[in-house]
Amino acid sequence: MSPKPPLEVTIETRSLGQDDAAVIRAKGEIDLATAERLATALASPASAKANALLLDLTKVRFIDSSGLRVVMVAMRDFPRLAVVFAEGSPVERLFELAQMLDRVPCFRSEEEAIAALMDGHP
Amino acid sequence: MSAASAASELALDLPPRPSSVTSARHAVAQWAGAFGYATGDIALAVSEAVGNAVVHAFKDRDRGTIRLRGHRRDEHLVVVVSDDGIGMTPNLDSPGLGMGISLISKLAAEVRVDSNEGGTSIVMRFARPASESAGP
Repeated sequence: MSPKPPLEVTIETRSLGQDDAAVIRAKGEIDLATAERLATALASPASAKANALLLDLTKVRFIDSSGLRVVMVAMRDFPRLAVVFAEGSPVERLFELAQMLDRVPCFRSEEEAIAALMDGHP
Repeated sequence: MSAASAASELALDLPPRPSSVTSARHAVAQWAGAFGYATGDIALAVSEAVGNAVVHAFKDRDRGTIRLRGHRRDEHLVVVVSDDGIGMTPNLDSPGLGMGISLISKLAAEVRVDSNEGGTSIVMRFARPASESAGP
C-alpha cells in the first residue's frame, strides 16, 4: 500500500512594508503522518522572527484534524495570521465541519491575504 | 501489513503507526470510488478513525493491529475500523483535538462506537448522495 503521503512545505519571507510575513506553503496531504512537517515550519527561525504568518493551503489535497491542530497552533502563536485555500477544497470542508470558518482569517489568494496583513487586517 | 481487497469488500490490517492513517485512507477512497461514491468524506472519516487508534489504542505498546473492513449493504457502504488495543480511556497527554468522533459523526449517516478492554470498534455507514449515479 501507499507509503507516507507526499507533503511539501516551503517557507519564505515577504515584506509587508515595515514588517515581514513568513509565507508557508503546503502541497500534498496533511494527516497524522505528515502534520509534524507543517508544525516544524511554524516553529522555524524564519517563522519565529516574522511579525505575521501567511499559511497557503491552496495545494493541499487532503487534511484531517491533525492539520487542523497545526492551524490552531498558528492562530495561538501568530495574532496576525492569514490562511489561504480554495473554495470547495478539502481545507474548506474540514473548517466547515469543525465550525472554524468564522474563526480562521480566510482568503482566496496570497495577494488578497498579503493586502489584508499590510492593512493590519487581520 | 496484509491486504485482501475484493470487488465488493475491503479488508486491510495495519500496524499502529502514523503511516497506517495514509494507507487506510487511500485504500478506502479507492474502494468507495469504485462504487461511485464521493470519496472525500469517507476518506476523512477513516483518517480520523485510524488516527484515533494509532494515537490512543496502544499506549505503552508497540504491537497491535488496526483492522479496516468495508462492505456494501443495499445503497450504503459500511466501513469498520477496529483495533485490539486498550479501549477508550482518558488521555490527558493526547496530541489531538479530541475531534475525531465528532467529525466522524458529521460525515457518516450512522456511527456506532464500541469499546472495552479488548479494543475499540467504530462502525460507520455512508449513504450514497442522491445526485450520484450507481456504481459498478
